[in-house]
Amino acid sequence: MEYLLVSTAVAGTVLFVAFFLRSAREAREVCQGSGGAEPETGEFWNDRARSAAAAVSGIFSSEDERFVSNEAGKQVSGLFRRERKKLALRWIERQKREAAAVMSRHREEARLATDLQPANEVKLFFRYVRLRLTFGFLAVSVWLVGPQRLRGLAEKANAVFHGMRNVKTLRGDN
Amino acid sequence: MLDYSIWFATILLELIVIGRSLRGGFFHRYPVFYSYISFVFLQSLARFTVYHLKPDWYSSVYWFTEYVAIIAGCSVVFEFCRLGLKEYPGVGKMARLGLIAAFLFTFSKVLFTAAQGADGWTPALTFLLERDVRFVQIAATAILVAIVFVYRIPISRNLKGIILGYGFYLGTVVANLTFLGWFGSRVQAAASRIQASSYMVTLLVWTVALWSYQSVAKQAVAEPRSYSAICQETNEQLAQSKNAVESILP
Repeated sequence: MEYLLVSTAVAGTVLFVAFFLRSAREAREVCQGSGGAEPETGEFWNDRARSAAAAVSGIFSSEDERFVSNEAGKQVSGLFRRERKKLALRWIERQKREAAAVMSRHREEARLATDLQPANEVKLFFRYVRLRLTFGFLAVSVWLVGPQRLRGLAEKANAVFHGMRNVKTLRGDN
Repeated sequence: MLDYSIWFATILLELIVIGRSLRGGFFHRYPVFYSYISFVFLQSLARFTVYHLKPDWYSSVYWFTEYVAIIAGCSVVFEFCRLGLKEYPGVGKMARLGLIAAFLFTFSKVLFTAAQGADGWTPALTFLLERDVRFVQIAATAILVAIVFVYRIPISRNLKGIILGYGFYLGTVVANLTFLGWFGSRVQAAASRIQASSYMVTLLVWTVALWSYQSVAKQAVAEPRSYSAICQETNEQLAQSKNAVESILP
């Protein structure tokens, strides 16, 4: 029985990782195909990026999904959710590439600096690692629950966290 | 017969490496490395002579010269650091700090193993002590290679060969000594053969990589900027990235 449980868990994990990696690879390929060259780090500040930010909040909002669910059938809703998920994964992939380009440019310049501070480099490295982990976590969450429900999930998690903190405070008071 | 062949081949290869550097006039380009090879060459000759003339002394001579060679081997890592990062003082400073950290971290392990010998020194403990000292060198080499990769420092074929050969040798020796420490004298014959063979492979790598002198290809280098300005810019851009992620979450 234990062997069965363990092998099911292993098989489930392998399948999960395989499907997730496949989606991530698709997003990466689309990103490379549409972007062509490495993304410019200065893109953060241009107008296109600003208008894109508004579009991004649209991808992660549940308003459109509610509208489609009300107006269209199951098939169209399913197609909508799939496409939104793909879009969200592409956006995360693009952010990841931009962060990588920032770090790459930093290393190119920092290696020539005579006043390089090792402690700062280590700090920056950990900051980048944290950001990459956030992207990874985000990608997995989007893949699992979809971009529209991500906000709701985060809100719930936040509420649970605050609830736990309140319980702790009450116990502390007693 | 096989042991003798390996022994002769290594002495011959050492001679070729030194001979090529003298003929090509690049001994002075890597003075520490070639001094190390010359030392190992003399050590091989000394061991060979003692083995045939005074076999009783061989064990003592072996372990004495082995520990001197290990200390001398550290200079190969420092030579790589000194020459490879000469043009990049900031990265060089970082590498030196990394090397010090590696030495301090692993030296504590060496002291721990050495302290075990206070109650009675066994052959297995001697192997383990050598393994720990070699491990210091591996850690230092790994840190240096990581820094070179991360900062994309251009390295000449000669230096690449030096570090590749030495890294391979260290890896084999550590694995070998670990098995020797575990299984003792049962595997000694095989272990010493593996160690000698790995050193021969290292010498082959060095012979090929150091056949002629090759300097680092000159790159168009941009004007260096202040590190604090670079760091501030990167921090701002990473913060923008972080904000973009946070904007989609409550």
